[in-house]
Amino acid sequence: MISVIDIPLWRLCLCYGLFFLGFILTWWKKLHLTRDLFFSIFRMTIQLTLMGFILTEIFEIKTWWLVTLIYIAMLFFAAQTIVKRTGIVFPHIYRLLYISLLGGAGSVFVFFILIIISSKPWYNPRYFIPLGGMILGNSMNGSALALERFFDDIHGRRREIETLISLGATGSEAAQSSFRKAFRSAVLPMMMNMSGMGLVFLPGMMTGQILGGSAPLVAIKYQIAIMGAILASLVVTVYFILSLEYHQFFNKFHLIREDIFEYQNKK
Amino acid sequence: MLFSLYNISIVKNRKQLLNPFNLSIPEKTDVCISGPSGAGKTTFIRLFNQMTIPTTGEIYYKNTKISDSDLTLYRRKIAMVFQEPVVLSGLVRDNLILPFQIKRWQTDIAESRIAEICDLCKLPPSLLTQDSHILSGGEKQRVAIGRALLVNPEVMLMDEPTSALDMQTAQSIMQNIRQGYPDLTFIIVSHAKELINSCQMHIQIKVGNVITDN
Repeated sequence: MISVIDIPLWRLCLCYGLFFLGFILTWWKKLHLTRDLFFSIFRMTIQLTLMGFILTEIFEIKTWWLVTLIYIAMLFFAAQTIVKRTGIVFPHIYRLLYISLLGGAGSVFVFFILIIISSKPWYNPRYFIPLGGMILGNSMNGSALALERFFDDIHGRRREIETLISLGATGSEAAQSSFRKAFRSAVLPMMMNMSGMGLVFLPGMMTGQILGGSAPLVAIKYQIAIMGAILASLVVTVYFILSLEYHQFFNKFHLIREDIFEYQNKK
Repeated sequence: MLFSLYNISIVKNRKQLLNPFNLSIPEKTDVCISGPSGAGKTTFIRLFNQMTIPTTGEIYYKNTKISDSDLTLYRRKIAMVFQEPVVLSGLVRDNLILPFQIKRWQTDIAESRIAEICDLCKLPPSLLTQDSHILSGGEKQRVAIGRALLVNPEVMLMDEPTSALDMQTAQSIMQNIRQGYPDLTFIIVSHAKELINSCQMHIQIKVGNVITDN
């Protein structure tokens, strides 16, 4: 097996020169992004460095419950990130997100790790954590897009929805168009990504495996498998989220609950 | 009785919008609702199709408690034309037949029926194939009226129907509708004397109080 070429620290520092290009451009064109760019790069550096040390320790774990606990913590942080990123808050939103992420990303991941990868033991952290993280992370991003798009669309279409309700539609029927738009906005980026794979770019996981010495055909199999899991997880999670979210917007009279928008404003 | 309202009141955000009242509306009685701006006329008229839910009390329609009914079926009987009608993007024709594009009610509408509705509401047939964004305020109001009539309602709720239509056109349309739908009952929010006089019952909303004036 070919070993990976390690990057010495001084060459890694040179890489930050590339980031510097971004600073120069945003500062020169007065795009007001320089500070945000700096903090993003700073956070990424700290977080990835910490993650590197943490993963080194995690890969030594031999207990199933600790590995599972780490996954649950990741799920917890995924829900927090969704709320923080979208800024959307309404009663029971965390419960909705936990159920959706567990039901969607969690169930697909269980199938993936037990049946597709079939790692021995099943809780082998070298497979469990990175693969679980990839599936969860993509579902998290899609969920945030769906949640935000649905919320904004319902808010913007209130009068239209009221008209449909007055014509005899249920809340679900009136919200159908918003459901469709939110679903598309969540899944479309992933579909676009998949369309470009292999032609426009080599995906990260495959690249990493090839660099690590895996044969390209093995790497491709992993890539196809993980993409299948990611897409399935995304679709199921987003479906759960939208189905549960819609119920928050309508009361038993099929009328929009205005308090959900007032709750948002107060936050 | 067509409608019977018992001990109805509306409180929203701890503010009393409508004080408790009782009201009965007999069959074949057109009703006009008037009152100062912000008195609660729109809130009141929306009670009839449960687009506003009362805080207290019960409403009966033809001696059946509305709260025991399937609201989606009930709202097809009590059609509403909002003060500012909403027209969706797409063709005017699609907006007109919107009630039948709701999944559960999907069915083909006879072209003769659409033509009849256009005639009643003074909508030129050539408008049907146009994009709805070109519609004027008055045309939107007429599309909304036509849309409501297409479901064969038993009661027509109209919130300020003359807000976008001139009085002559509004009266002409209502006369056409009365001729075409003799069993249809109107409940209208309006300040126009002509419309008040054309109705058998007049209700005034003042300072949250519902005052009947037959």
